[in-house]
Amino acid sequence: MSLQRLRSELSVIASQTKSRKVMVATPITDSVTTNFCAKLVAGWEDPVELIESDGVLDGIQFPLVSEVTVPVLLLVIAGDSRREDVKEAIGYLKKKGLPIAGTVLLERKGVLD
Amino acid sequence: MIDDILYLLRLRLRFLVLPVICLPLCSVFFLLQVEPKFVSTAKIWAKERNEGSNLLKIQREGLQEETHVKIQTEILFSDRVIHRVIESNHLDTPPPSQSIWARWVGGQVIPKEEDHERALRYAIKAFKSSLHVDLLNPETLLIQLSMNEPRLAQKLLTSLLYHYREVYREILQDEVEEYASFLSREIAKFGLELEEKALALIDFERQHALIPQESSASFDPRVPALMGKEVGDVSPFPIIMSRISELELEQNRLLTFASAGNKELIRIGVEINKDKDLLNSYNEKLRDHAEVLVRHQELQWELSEVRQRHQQVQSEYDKVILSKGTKLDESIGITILDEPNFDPEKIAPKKKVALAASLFMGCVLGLSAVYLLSLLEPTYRRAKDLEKETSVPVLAHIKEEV
Repeated sequence: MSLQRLRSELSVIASQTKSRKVMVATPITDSVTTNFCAKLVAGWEDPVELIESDGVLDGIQFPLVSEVTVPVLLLVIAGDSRREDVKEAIGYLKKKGLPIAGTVLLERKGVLD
Repeated sequence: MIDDILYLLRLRLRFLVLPVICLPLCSVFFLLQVEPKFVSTAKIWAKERNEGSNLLKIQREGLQEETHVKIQTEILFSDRVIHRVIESNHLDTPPPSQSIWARWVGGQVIPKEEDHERALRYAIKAFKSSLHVDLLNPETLLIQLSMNEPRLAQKLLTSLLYHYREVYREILQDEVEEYASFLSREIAKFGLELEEKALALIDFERQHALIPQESSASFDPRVPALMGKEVGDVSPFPIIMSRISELELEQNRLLTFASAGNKELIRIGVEINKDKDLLNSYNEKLRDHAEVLVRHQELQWELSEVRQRHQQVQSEYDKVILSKGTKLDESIGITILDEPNFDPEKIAPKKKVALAASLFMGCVLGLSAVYLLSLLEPTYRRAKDLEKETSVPVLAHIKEEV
């Protein structure tokens, strides 16, 4: 799936919420989130509001949790994010009552080589 | 399923390729270095010997039919035989290497052992490991010897059979000599005993002059009859008894009319007493004489017994001495049914089999490594796996650098 498809998917998901926001997080804090968000927003004509977050398992900050429910997009780095961390993060999000918009599998250059 | 397998193979290609290449390479290296093995085979018939002497005959209980042939195997594998083979063929220095590498490079490096005893021990051990003996039946042995040259294998097997027969003959010789020595000691012992008994008999006969001289030459065991005959011929018993009876009749007749103080009566009483004393004295002499005769016969019997035993041992000794020579050679009983031959085709290593096996093992090892690594993979690499395990939809799989 390309970035374009992801954008449209995110637009649909965001439109179903009141805030039209999507939180982007990785299981463990990683700078890839910022880069990913920048890349995603760049060239997006009608972007949804993306909230960059720290790692889910590193004490995620949910500034809007008390006001409105924000779906979370979980970034999984291929060959880097550990399976148990991903599962634990998903379990944690579910436990907190946050909807999970979906996951994105990122192949970071150099990781799979 | 096939997609998954192909994905795994593509992902871990290096783990698959590495053993597939390395193992055949190792195999090639091994084939270059390893010594070829050529085998020489012989078949022998080891008959169980049957000696003239009953005491040398082997007697076993139960159904241990293979004992004899197993002993032959032990002799073949004995240090005594193998040591002789090694010494006679100068095998304390290892034979030249016949590996492909050694033939290529030309120089055949032979590790020379400084310590002769140690070199000999190694050689014996190596020889034993290349020798194989099969029992075909309770009397037939198949002997195989493998060496790095076919003619060397044949030569050494021939030498082995020769020394094996020599050693076996020596063992039998030792056994016969030991037994002959024992018999010789027994003969000497019985000879002394015989002499002692004969002297004792002669002394006894000298001390007792009444014993007839011919009795010592021919032993007659009919002692009571002999005694009766002697007593019957010379015995005064009936005369004395008859006279005592007559005197007692006369005494009784006188007692009817004469008084106790009658002189005639007193005389008859005295006569009767004298005769009775004579009778008693004669009885005692006869008893003494009979005792002497019995003792004499005892001595004769003992002498005869020792003489018989002496003759038996002497006869056994003669048999053993006879079997010590030609008969011993005949009784070795080892016949070579098939003379040592050799197969020009080496039995090991099998190049094609070794290469195919190493390739197969490399594949198995590589596939196992790939499978194990996939099981132990701690991260996600495919969107499919991520979605399947988390039950959360994967919105995108972005491969480019982010």
